[in-house]
Amino acid sequence: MASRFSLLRQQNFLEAMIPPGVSISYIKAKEVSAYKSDPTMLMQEKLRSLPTKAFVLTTPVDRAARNVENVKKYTELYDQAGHMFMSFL
Amino acid sequence: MATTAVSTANPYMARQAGTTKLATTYAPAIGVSQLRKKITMLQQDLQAYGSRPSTSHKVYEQSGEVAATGLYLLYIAQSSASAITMYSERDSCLCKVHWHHISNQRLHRRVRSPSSMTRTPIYLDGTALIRMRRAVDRNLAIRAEDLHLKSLQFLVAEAFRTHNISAAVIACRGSSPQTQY
Repeated sequence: MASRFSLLRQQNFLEAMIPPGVSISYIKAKEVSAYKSDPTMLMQEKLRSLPTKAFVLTTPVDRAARNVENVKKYTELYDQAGHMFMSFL
Repeated sequence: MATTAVSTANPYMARQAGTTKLATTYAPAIGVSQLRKKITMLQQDLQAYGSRPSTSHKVYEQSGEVAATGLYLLYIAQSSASAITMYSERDSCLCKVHWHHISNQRLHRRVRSPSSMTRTPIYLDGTALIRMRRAVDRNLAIRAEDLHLKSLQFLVAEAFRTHNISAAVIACRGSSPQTQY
């Protein structure tokens, strides 16, 4: 179970999906509940610091957020800065 | 809790696959229930369309949760060594592409709306189909699992290209204290 959800596996898979020539930033949250807003805030900070719009890649999106409020924040990031989200089920 | 944000230039890392799960969403801000409904509709449509279940299809049928933000939804409904079926939220259409037909340069596309059963334009334009055909030609000789992965990589690359995006943020989260690194 633990290995199934390992951050390394998530990271390897997502890295494999990104085409060459794309700059990559990482946000890793360990032992963090998706119900908390900490990862969302970290994501907001990260995305606001980027000069261009970015694709945010996650394995199931509930890795990034599991409540409506946090998803709404992501929606705002999309509306305001054009950042897009891509999830792999 | 431990959260870190690390930036790095793309090292063009070894493309090691952690999994071959193949459903992907570039989802608009729609609710999970709405998405589930669409996926159910799509699956019914695929059945009516004559799709035969196979081992590889099971992977995709388990998809059905998730809604995120983005411009459109591209849902890989089914995929096998010979065909891939895609559902585009933006155009509300279904596109089925048969690899072997593509490799024979006879593009075989059947497109119809899952809801109205009428023909509609498809998300992939001619250029994208040609690019896909080339990608498939390159990958036909490899194992089916790799073909799936390569197909998915191609689609993701298309998304980056289509939206002219040159940056990516990889977001990983683990809630278990036993998370293995």
